Amino acid sequence: MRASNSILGALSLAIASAAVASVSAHRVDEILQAARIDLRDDGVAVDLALTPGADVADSIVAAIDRDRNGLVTSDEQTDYAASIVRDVVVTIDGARLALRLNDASFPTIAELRSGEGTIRVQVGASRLLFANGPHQLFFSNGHHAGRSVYLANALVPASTRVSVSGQRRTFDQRELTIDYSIGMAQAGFTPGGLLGMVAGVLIVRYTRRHRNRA
Amino acid sequence: MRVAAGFGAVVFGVFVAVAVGVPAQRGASSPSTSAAATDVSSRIVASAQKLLAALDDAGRAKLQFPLNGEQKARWSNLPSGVFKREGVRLGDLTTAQRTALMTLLETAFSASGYRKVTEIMRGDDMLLGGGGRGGPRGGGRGPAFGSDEYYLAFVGAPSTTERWMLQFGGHHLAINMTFGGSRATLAPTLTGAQPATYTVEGRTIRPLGQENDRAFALIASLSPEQRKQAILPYAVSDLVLGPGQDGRTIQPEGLRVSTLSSSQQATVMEIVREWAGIANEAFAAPRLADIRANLRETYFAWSGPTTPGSVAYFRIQGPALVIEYAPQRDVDHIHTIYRDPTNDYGAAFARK
Repeated sequence: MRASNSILGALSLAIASAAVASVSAHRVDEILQAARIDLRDDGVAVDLALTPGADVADSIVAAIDRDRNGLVTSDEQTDYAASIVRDVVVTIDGARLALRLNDASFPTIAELRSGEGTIRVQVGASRLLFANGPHQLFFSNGHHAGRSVYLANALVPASTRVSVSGQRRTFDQRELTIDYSIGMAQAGFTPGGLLGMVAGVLIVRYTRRHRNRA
Repeated sequence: MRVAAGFGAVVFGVFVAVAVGVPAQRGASSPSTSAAATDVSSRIVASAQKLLAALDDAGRAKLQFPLNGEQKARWSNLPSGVFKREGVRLGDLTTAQRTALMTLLETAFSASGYRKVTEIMRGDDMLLGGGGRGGPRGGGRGPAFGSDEYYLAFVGAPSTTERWMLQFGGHHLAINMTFGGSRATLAPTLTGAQPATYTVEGRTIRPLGQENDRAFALIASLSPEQRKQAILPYAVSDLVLGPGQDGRTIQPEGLRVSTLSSSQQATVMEIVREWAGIANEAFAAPRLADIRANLRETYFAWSGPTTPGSVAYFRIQGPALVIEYAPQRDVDHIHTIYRDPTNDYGAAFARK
């Protein structure tokens, strides 16, 4: 047996005399807003996750619980999710997309107030990503600007027709520009694939030659 | 004769094409490492059975979950009390049961991996000692810290042939180790630390210190041109693919590892080992070989200052690998994630 199992317990007791950090250094006075943008054959899907820190959670709870009765109804949730959607801008080649709220999920008020609850909002725009060729998607999140930190990333497209060639962001990631292109469905091009093509040509040539001799 | 030779050449060509076309073989290993993995797998299952035998019926019921249920994706970096974990809680076990559980972890992990896990737990004891609240289950009244607040669950029945998962976690720790016969993957696994540095009897403990130090050594070794590609011109405040982000793959960014020198590439692999090497070496070795085989398509990205001791984020991303290291506003609070987009939760084991 390697390190004795008793070590953990013994050290746990010894720890009391050790230096101690603050109990929690989680983000408390900012809202973490993470956006993941999925370019699909049939449009754009944006997944937004908002995690308010404990010190700002009350203001978010107040914005959700509009009648201040301590209960959050599904209508209040939908209204708040819609306010997020209004603060988000997505354009393709300069043309603003009409965003649709697809889904939203909310933690409990207690979870929000603890600073560990995450509001998730799925937004979509059913629009073809335009014709073959290079394009540019611009994303901007203005929700609670000034007291938020942001993450914004393009997902690897599931469609082989869509390929992302670059991403440019503002320093705080509140804005993201994605350079992408639409093309024909691409097959994977690997050394094995190349050799397979060569082998295929050889097979065809061999078969033809053999048939001609027969 | 010429016909036979020609046909033979074609068949050979097809064989080569197929052989080369197959991506880096998952878990490709020599017979000796495969035999070692089989042996370790047997010992892990035996340890798991001993733990099951040490528990009463209620304990076994808490420990065991169906393979295809929701439990496998129920993990978090958050402390108990804020996030409700399922499974057996360390603080509820007898000494013998707890010893059986820790013996299982020692068998499943490498020596350095076991040390890392226990140091993360000790770090949580620091939070408890510093004013955090302990006590059974946290009672839903806020965060509960300390090594008693870690949970173990089996997703699927321990087996040397069938897929199953050992899930062990608590604050700043979520080990999701899926077995498929003699193979195993740790993806997805979250490690974290707060405090990131503490002392025990005069000894300085840094659970994630190697990850940090090696990454700073790597960024320091880059040429100005390489740094220009590796350093992202924006702030990254947290994990992008942390808990709840299963099945997502972000567009890779940064510097291609293939452009690095062999020495720098070796440093990259040393960094990767800090996550992949949590598993017993019998499983870590083939996984590291897979990752090494994919270095050509692997990227290293950095955000933040490059002076050692600074708050800096980094990411290593390849076709079958995502590692993120994200300080939480200060160097004493770290979150990290380790994923395999092709084999999270042993998905590839299920396909074979």
